[in-house]
Amino acid sequence: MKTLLHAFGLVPVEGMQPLDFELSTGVSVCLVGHDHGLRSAYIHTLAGAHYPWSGDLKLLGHRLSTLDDRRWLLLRREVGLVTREAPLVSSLDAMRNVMLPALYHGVATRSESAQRAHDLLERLGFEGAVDRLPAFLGERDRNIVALARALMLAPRLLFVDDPLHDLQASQARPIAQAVMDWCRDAASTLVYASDDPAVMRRADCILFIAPPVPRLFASWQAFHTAGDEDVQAYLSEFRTEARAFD
Amino acid sequence: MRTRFDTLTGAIGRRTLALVLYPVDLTAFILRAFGDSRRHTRRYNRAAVNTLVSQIIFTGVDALPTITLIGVAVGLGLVSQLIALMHMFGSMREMVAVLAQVVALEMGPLLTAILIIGRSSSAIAVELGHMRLNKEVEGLWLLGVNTNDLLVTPRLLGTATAQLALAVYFTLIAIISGTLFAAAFVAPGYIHFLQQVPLALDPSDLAVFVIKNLLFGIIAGAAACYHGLQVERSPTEVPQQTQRAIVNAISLIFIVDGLFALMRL
Repeated sequence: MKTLLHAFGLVPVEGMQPLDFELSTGVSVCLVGHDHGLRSAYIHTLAGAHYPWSGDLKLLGHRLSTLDDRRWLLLRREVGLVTREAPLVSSLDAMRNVMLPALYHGVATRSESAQRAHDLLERLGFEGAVDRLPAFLGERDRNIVALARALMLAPRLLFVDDPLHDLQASQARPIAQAVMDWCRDAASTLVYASDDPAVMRRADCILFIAPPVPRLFASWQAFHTAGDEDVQAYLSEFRTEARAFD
Repeated sequence: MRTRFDTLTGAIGRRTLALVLYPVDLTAFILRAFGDSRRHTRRYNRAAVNTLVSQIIFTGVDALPTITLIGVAVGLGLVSQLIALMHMFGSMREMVAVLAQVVALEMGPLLTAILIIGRSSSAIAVELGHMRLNKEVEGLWLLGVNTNDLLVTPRLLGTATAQLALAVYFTLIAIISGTLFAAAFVAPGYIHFLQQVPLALDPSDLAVFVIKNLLFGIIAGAAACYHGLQVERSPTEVPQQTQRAIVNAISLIFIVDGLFALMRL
């Protein structure tokens, strides 16, 4: 298994302890933690979208600190990041938004891109009209379009910063599952920030982000049974929220 | 200790520097946009071509009714007046030369550029400003899309192409409508101007016409993209940057037009 990501003493935000972390092909990691802002800072830094406070990162063999703008842009073709805002191009309809990266990078013809976009939207459960502008789509469909757009280039590493956080669990869960299935089928490495136990359970490992030390757990079982006070506090709060949803 | 005088001189100095540096900034912006696109030309970039085509349609084709109306109005109001004036004070040859030089080489490009700035530059600045506000530009970067390549260069090429085509169209409409009006109401012989005006333009005039229009179009597009992409956080920045784009583009176009006139003296 090839190492796709290697963090060396990575500190995205001042005050956190350094994180040493490796990710291989086909692995899925769930990022969890109380502080969504902090979690977001970690996922953006691990994806190479933000420079760390200290430490360094190797993404697909490239050291982030030595990349110039052009190489950084080239790297983005293989490292996807879907942010919480999940901004789409407002002047392009849903289908064109999804097709855009493939057309821009010239990785597929127009008809191939359209077919691939159609398949991805269908797989993620898009229910709206593909010829509608993002402003006229519901939030669920907008998030699906953003996820499908990130998957269009078949990234080797995909980072998802919980774009479905405003949706109800019953709506968000099937979409998250579909993204995880896609990554498993494509042997892509996935880092998914979420508070959904279904995502945590399916992930190969869990990275718990809490000040001052981020901790990596080898499985949901290890995380769930950990004796750490802050982990149990997180899980108990989460259980209360989960019950409220049910 | 800072006095009011220091503040005033400081403000004047900063404004003057900004005024002098603006054309330099804009030139660097244009060169960088074309440079970024040149790196990408090895692959056929259909997304950028789509943006270019959309820009040409919006700036050029959609503006045809307005340009036709203004062209006819200028033809009736100005060209026919010029013909009538020259009829009293000048020779036939001078009349043709005035029409070729004033209408074709000066008014056509200038009025077309003003229309494009008012119509398209403002729209581009607003669109890009909102894209910045909604973090759409950041979303594109995360997909490995060079925003100069996708958003700026096609718009510059689109406005330049549309400016050239519309200036040709505007000039034709203005001269034809003015000449027909003069022929109908002053003297039927003026209809021959339609043949003589094109012959009064030599190849260097045509080269200046083409270069000037392409430059005007690039300035109109570049000022719009430059100011649109300056928007950072607040929605109030969008109208502020839009009006700066319009005012600066019009000012630059008049300055460039003056420089062209000086070169041809």
